[in-house]
Amino acid sequence: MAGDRLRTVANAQRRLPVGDAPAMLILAMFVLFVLSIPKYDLPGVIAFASLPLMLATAGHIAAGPVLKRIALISPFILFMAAGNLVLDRQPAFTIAGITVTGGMVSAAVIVSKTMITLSALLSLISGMPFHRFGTALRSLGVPGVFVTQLLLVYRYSSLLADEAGMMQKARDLRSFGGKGKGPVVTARLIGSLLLRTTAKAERIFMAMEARGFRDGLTTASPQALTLKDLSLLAGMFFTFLLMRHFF
Amino acid sequence: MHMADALLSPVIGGAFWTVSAGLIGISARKITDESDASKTVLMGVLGAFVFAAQMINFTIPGTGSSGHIGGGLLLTVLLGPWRALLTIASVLVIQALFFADGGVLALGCNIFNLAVFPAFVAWPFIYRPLAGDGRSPARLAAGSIAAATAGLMAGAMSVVLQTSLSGVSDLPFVTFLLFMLPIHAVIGIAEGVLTWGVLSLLARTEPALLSGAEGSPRKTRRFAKALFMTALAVSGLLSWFASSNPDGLEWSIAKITGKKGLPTASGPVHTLLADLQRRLAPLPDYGFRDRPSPGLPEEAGTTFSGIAGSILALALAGSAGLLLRRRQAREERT
Amino acid sequence: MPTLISIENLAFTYPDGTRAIDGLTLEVREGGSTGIVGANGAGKSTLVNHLNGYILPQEGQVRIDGIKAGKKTREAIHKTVGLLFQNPDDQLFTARMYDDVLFGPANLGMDIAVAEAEAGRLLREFGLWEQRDKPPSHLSHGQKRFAALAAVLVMQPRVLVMDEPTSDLDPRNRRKLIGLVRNFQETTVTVSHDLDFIWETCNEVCIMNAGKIVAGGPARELLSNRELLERNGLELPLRLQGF
Repeated sequence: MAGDRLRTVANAQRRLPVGDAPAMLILAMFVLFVLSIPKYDLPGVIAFASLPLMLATAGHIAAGPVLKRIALISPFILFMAAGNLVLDRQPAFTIAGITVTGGMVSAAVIVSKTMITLSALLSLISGMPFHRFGTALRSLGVPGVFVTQLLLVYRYSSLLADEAGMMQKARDLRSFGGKGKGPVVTARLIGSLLLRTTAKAERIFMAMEARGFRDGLTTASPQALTLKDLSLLAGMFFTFLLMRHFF
Repeated sequence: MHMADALLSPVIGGAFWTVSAGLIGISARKITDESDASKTVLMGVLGAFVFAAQMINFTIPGTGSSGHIGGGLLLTVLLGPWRALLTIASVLVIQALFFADGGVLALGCNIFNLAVFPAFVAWPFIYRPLAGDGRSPARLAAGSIAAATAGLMAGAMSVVLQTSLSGVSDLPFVTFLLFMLPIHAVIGIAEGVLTWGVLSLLARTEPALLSGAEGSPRKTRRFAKALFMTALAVSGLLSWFASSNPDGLEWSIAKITGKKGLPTASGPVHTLLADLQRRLAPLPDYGFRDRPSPGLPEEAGTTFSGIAGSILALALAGSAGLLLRRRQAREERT
Repeated sequence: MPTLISIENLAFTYPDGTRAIDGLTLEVREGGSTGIVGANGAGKSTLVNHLNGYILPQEGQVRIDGIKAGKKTREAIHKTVGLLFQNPDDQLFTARMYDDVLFGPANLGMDIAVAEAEAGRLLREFGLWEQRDKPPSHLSHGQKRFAALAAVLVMQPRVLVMDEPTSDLDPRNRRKLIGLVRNFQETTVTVSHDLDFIWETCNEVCIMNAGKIVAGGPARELLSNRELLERNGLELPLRLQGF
């Protein structure tokens, strides 16, 4: 999984002096603040880039994989940013003889916001093994059913993806000139993967029942947010507020 | 198409997040009450299945471009709307967090766009009336293709609405719509064909799976109507508050250069599109074209657009369903 | 030695009409190590599913530690019988291997300290202690196999049933498993194609064919009987084939 690839070799220990649940809440706050920055306010956006930068250095997260990932910005974002570039030709100001249009500024803001929020997200997630993620969600009040669902999806997607990959490879080896790859054949492929999946689900259910499974996979009891967590959250909130005000 | 954080305003993003979270909460409660452990496992594994299935590409005949299945309608047929909602949501959460696909705030929008329409609109109003128990291949095909197309187009419409209401992108509402809808119609048909193919394989080998979505469709329809009324109310209220993006441009310019920007002629593309939009859009810039009555506050226009948007989305899906249902009823009488 | 598993005239037909078990009778004594062998389609998997109460008898009776298998006694049977699945991926379903091992004891309401001590002992014995924080998807086949075994043994079952335990194990891991099984105190039932594994680890063997047990007796005796084996779709263990 991509998140796994982002981790450096020496990891799985908590690297930031923050609990998982508060860290996730801070990330959410951060994203909201970044997105509240007005459309043309590039300096404001750049100021907020300081947080992911700090996270990355404090958490000893290798910059390489994170940067590589955010460099692959989704075509949709690029398309929308380009849209602004094309549609908004109103000159905003000139620098060194070059006229900068409103569209350029807003496009840059869109792209920067994307990169900043993504890098903050990736820096946080890359340091969090999935089982801790599940526990953190529980302590934030996410229903147990949903956390169990996330755990199972996480557990089995790489396995099923491997199977799908093999099936597709087998199909591709027997298709020529585009024949054999149409929607109907692909539907058959997906259908047989589905049948194998439901059979597997039955076996997994059997294994779970055999070990007393009743309703959920969440065994660790969730910790409530401590006073220390809450004060940290308040602190970050005001920091962000100040940053928004000044920049 | 996945919504992205940078194109959202916190208000719109927050609103959809709230709705999606609420729906997940309701769904979790219902599922816990049903206490069906084997379905819990099935949901989990099917979520993983969606990931895997999306890796399998097909080529669209004649175009050479490739696509993959979405899976929303398929999941709803196999699991019922509530479980499908949770399953799709779980896939989207993992995609957002571990593949950085979409975004944290956009998750609320994506869950709404990609789960609610197939599960609560397309499936009860279009698929079920048409396809029934899945035994007739023709009806199964019709139901799958119609439902998938409607669901995807409604989702696309929703993306356009969310983008326009947020005000970050300069793309005019109608232009964006004219771009998204035809594309998603094609994607929808492909999704429908794929879904039909999978379901017909199941109908032959494991027909029991096709009735995985138990529970009366009538209950789902009642819920969908309630959901729609809520969406109306929320979008109406919110668009009142949604920033029409106070022109921060001048403020930024003033900060950087110390003087205000000069308005000049816009480029030809902009003029053309703006012109088109002025002519076509009944609600240019989310207000009324001509103020209907002088006393009406400007915000009324925005509220109206929000509501209109919701109605349009459901109308698209619902009218398709009604038309098809009427045709089916006619056929049954002959 | 008291009888731990007693099956009488068991029969089972699948919904598609396949009569997988056709009048099967079997007895496993406490402390014994029994191997069940048979060709593909002989009904071994169906039998395994009866041994942990997942499938209930359509005809005949299954008694485990004196408990008659039925809807209400399923849970009790789960506590008595530990089943090692053919595919460890079906058995390890959490995000962290250590959590998986403790899953059973947590649900059984075992004392947490006891469970953790036992889990630690087993994982160290299997050489998996350092891997306990890894998600199962990051473990090799062999590691998964032993992790699943730990997850089953930690519940301290009275009978350990193993379904094709050596499939996808490399020679060294296979040898390791043989060593472990030979030292088990529990009663074991092993269903396998790996006749050499059965030879090394079981004292009794039953041969299955077409849903019935057609022969039973001391392992080395039956597994040396070429005609008997070949009549039932099997071959001599490799060690006896002169390799």
